[in-house]
Amino acid sequence: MKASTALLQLFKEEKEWRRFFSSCCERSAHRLTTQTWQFRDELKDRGHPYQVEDVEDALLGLARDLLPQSPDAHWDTEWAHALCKHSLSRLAEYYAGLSAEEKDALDLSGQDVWDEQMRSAGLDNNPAAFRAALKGCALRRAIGHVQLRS
Amino acid sequence: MAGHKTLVAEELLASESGLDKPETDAHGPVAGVAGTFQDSDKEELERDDIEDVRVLLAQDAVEESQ
Repeated sequence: MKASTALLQLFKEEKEWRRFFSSCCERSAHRLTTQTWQFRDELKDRGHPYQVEDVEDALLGLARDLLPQSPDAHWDTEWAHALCKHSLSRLAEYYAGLSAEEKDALDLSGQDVWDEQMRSAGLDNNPAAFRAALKGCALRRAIGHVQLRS
Repeated sequence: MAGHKTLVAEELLASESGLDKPETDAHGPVAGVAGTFQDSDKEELERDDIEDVRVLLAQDAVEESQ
């Protein structure tokens, strides 16, 4: 079962969770993402374990479907910035651990494709697609290839 | 919350936002990959669920305003 389906079931069955979701969406652009862990824990208690990022993407998607005028349904540049910053810092850690030969062997071609996908996801107001594009960015893939070869 | 644990304040959670979580290879179906009839059935069920929750949220809003 997808996280969004499990969340929809929760909202259909539990008024308090539905109201909590609604209040998060209406209150601010960050409230839903900071409260994701509570939804995740509840789903886990109900036998549906998901990673936080899957629940977060599902919640942000449902905010757009259910409460499109709320602050949490709009594209959040700060959220995207934080996601990119975190990803880049992790890449920097990986890169620092590579040998000189491995750094030379990095193939960064194709980065534009992922950049475009991230840009399109932002224009489409699609957080899940943005995260997927970020994960697939060519630099990360290149480092993965180097690590596999070594 | 009756029957459930109490919801906790948001300030605790920056590190729980998903940004600090280690990645795994556990992901759902890839977007854009051709689906099956079963997939489309599930999507339709989810659309029905979305519509149901929309109605419930609207009812909640009316209750709160009264």
